[in-house]
Amino acid sequence: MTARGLWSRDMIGWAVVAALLPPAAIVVVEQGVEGVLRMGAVLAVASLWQLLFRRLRGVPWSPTGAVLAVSMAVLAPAGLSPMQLALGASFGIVLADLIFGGWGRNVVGAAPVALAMVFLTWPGGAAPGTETTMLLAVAASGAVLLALGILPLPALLGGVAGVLGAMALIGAPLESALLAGGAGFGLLLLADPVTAPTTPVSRLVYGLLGGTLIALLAGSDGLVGAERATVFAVLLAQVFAPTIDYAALAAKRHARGRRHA
Amino acid sequence: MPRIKGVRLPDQGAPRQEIGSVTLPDCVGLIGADYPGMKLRAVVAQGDRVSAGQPVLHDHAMPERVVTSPVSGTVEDIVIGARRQVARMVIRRGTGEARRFDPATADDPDGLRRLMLSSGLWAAILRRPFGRVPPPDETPAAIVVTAMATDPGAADPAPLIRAEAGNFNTGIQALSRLGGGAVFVCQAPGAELARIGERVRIAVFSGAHPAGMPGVHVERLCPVSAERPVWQIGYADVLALGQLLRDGALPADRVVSLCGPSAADPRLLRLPIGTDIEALAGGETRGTAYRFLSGPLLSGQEGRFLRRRHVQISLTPREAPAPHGRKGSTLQRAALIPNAAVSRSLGPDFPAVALLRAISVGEVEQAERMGVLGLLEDDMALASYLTGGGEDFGIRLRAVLDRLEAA
Repeated sequence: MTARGLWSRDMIGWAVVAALLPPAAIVVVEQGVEGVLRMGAVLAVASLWQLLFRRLRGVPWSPTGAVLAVSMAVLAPAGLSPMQLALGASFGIVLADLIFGGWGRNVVGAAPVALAMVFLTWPGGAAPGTETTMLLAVAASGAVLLALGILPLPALLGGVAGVLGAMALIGAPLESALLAGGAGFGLLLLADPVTAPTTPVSRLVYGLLGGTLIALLAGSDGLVGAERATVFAVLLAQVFAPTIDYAALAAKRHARGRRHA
Repeated sequence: MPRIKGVRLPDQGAPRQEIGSVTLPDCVGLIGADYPGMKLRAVVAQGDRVSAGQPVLHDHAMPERVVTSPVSGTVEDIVIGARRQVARMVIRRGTGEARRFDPATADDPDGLRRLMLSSGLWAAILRRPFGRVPPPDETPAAIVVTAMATDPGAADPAPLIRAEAGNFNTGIQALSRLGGGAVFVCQAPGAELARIGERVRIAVFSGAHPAGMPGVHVERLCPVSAERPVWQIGYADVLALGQLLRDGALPADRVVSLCGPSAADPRLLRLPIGTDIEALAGGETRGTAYRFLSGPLLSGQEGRFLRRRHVQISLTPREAPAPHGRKGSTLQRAALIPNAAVSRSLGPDFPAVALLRAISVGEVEQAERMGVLGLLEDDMALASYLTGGGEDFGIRLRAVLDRLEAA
């Protein structure tokens, strides 16, 4: 190795953390002390697990803990204690991320898994205040990550197109998308570069699938309070990501074979 | 014309594109690793006098494949490495006539092959898959000539080729007579560097690095498979072939770019193959803590001598070693995090992220399906650089290629 470039894993990790600051700030503003406690509890317990796995298994540092903290503060139902969130976060980061060898080797994201566990265990309540301000903060995060080349554009575009297209098809109120801070945050989780497929075409298909699922699971009421639907849609799409990628790569191979002959 | 969306790289210490003067170091070195696929045995002994162009090493299995001395002088040192193969031969420059060849024998394809073999130019060719010097009787599916460079600090080949247009054209036409598929001259946008013929085609590539890499060109022009080998050769060796056919002698030197952040005066130099860059760097650097690399900054190798196919010497500051215990040697190899730059690192035709993941974990079958046979170590340098150097994908690639080659 003779030279080192900018986009090392640590650099991307810190960029992700920095991009999460706007939604985190909105959480603090809207939820006050409770928001800080929610994020703090999740971050603390996730960091503890990361430290443990670093010691025992040599799993390197990753921004997963920060992603989890902000995701759970934004998407988890109001009224859950920090303890309950910490329990969900433990489940997510250990089973979805750390036992696979950490960030970059995971198949599904830690945040969707943790949130799915929370939603299944303690059903109820909408997330606290996910509205237009949050959507704007999420858009800022997305713009930063897109500009840095970390979020794949086709997945994000596919996600937005999928959500709006499916909402129009089932007759859900399109204006609810303007209040959909939670669903917007879900699209960022959907476009996670590690769990998304790897080619432009498969990323677009994956984004469309994820977006469509969000709208379909949210139903005809629209995206307000659709955190639950968002989380399960993202998780489901991530499960299908390797299959979509496999198909796209097979098509590419086929095309290469034709060019060859 | 394929426009390659590459990655813009820092370009510190880019050379002036004019040929400067230099005091040649006393020794040249031939490195065994530059002739992959050849089991090198010395045909001269330590202390022997040799003339430029005279065979000094040959392949044990196919003795017609030889390596010739780049200079006239005395054999100073022969280092034998693994499996009794020559790892390094050092020749001290002296006086003496260069060996003459008879270009008239190269009128038919067989004669041309014999001339290329006996002059050592055959060993300049690499075949894909696997990156070996091709066997003497192989017919390639295509020959790809790299007549462009996008590596930071590289010399611009176009003016160098235009300055010897006759030699280049003769070399290209000769390659087209070797049989097999077309000869592709891969160049940057601009006037055509060679005459188009029935079997000579121009392929123009534009864009940032890796647009000038042979791996990108080969995959676009004629994808490789085990049954369809493709040869690659650099422009400097095509110029040498042209000069050999026109004058009956090999050129004494080639134009090499001396570049990098630590170079006091980055410029182009005329240097023989195997130049002692350690001796050369002594008077060419700024600062005291520097490293000298044969080849580009991204894919170059540290070592005393200029390697056979390199036309670039990079001088770069030596980084302070990591403080003891900080690097965390117990940590696992960090996984690749996909991003836009990495997905462009292998050019437009490889699924870069999926392929890098596959070779990183040694998924041989998957990597083969994604076209790994078309790649060599140098093609992976950009990906290794972009991901922060945590993982050398060149080494991972070779591990996968070795398993495919053994199968």
